[in-house]
Amino acid sequence: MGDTANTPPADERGSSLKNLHPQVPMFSSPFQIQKNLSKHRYLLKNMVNRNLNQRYNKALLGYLWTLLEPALLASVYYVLFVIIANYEDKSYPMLILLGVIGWGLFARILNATVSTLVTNAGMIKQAGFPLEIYSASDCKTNLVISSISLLTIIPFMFYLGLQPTSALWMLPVAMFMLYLSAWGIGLMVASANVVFPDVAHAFRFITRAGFFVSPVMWTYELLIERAGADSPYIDIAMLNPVVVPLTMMKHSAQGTIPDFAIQHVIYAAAFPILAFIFGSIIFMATSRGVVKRL
Amino acid sequence: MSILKRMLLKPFGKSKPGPQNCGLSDVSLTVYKGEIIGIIGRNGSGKSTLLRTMAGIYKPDNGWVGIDGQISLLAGVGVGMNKDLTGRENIHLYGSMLGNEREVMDSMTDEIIAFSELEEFIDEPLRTYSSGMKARLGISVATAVKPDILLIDEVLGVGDPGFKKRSQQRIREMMDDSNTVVLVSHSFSLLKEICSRMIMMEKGKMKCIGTPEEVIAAYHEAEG
Repeated sequence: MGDTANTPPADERGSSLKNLHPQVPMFSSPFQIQKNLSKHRYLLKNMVNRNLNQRYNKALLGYLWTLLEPALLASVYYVLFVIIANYEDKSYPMLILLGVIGWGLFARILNATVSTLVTNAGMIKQAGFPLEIYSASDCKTNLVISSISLLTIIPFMFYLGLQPTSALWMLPVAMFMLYLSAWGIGLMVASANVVFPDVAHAFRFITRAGFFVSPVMWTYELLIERAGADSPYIDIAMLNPVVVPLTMMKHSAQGTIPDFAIQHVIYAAAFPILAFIFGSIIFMATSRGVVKRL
Repeated sequence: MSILKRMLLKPFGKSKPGPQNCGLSDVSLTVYKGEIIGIIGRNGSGKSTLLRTMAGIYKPDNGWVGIDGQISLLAGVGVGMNKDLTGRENIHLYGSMLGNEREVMDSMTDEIIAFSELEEFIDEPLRTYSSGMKARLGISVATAVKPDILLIDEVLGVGDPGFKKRSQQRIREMMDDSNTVVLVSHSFSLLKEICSRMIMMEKGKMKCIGTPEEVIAAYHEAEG
């Protein structure tokens, strides 16, 4: 027996036996996760397929719902804002739809990752593959759904006479920022949620409230206009990691580049990377240890 | 205590002191290549916990687990399989959960289907299968690829007598191929027939380790 947990005893070191729970150097955790995802990419593909099947298989319209749901939402927004409220900006429903799709991606990945160990407790106790595969499969599933939903923007662009421009590069970049931020934050607290299920409840509230404090139904430009470009409230609002990506998504369809202060761009670019790094470190260090509490 | 008081105090309440519930304690075991080890014990004695610790699902608080080779755990009937996917799709899903690559599963699919004797139903959704059929599919997948180390948790007893016999024969083939098997079972006749060594677990500890006859006798003695 080793003197410390998961360290081979002296007489076993150098043997051909592989330690099932090797100590992963802290900052190697993100790379270890990527290595595990690459090694198990066939499993990941099968799990995404399973998730999509579970969601849509029994529905009569099946996968068409990935298009129908946002399209129906867009119709509701159009009636509300263009016809009833008589907004001058006819692109407003499209901007809201982009915000809803982007926020939906972030919120679904975040909530799924926070609960990943608890939700998959049954399988975790019977299958020995890396635990990050579960949340990664939820991330990819939601990315597939959101990407298909984005197709509903095309008729809007056509109606508004908007041509695709080079600004469309912002769309996949923004989606990636949302994906990585949500996954990273979720990984940070997933183990804590096993011990304190209150964590999942708290995050469900955060995502509900976040819908309103994020530029889903409003725009960054409206915030600047109302608060003033030099207002300290702008810096506070920009601490929300989804402000920049959601705004990028909206501008990508309009063919324009948003006008952010440089410090906000740096923050928005660094946040997903740091969230994933720290999320990976915390998850790799704690997740296997809490499995016995499931 | 009123319901309201209980609700308010719950976040701050102290948990009642209870007996130390240790899944495993002082377990030290070396399993050699080609061995078939049987584990027996009463319910809650730590058999499944030991198996899952060997599979890497549980991380020990003290000590370590070392393996040399690919390990597969067969626990529960159709674990991870999805009832809306067909049997064929579940072969790939379950096979990938056991750590197998696409190429391996593609090459093994026909053999798996033939061994499970589910040719007629293989393209039907899993929800139309009986529990025995699901178990046959699961065992067929788990034993098809012949991992270096196979851990089996009480699923060898499922299926009709013909399939049980063929599953046991497959385990023997694994032994002949110098594969290592650790299995938990309540079937003493099966364990006596195929195991080289057996372990008896009691309250998280290894009570006894030895030949099948010795350990089964110790079990009966403990049971009174």
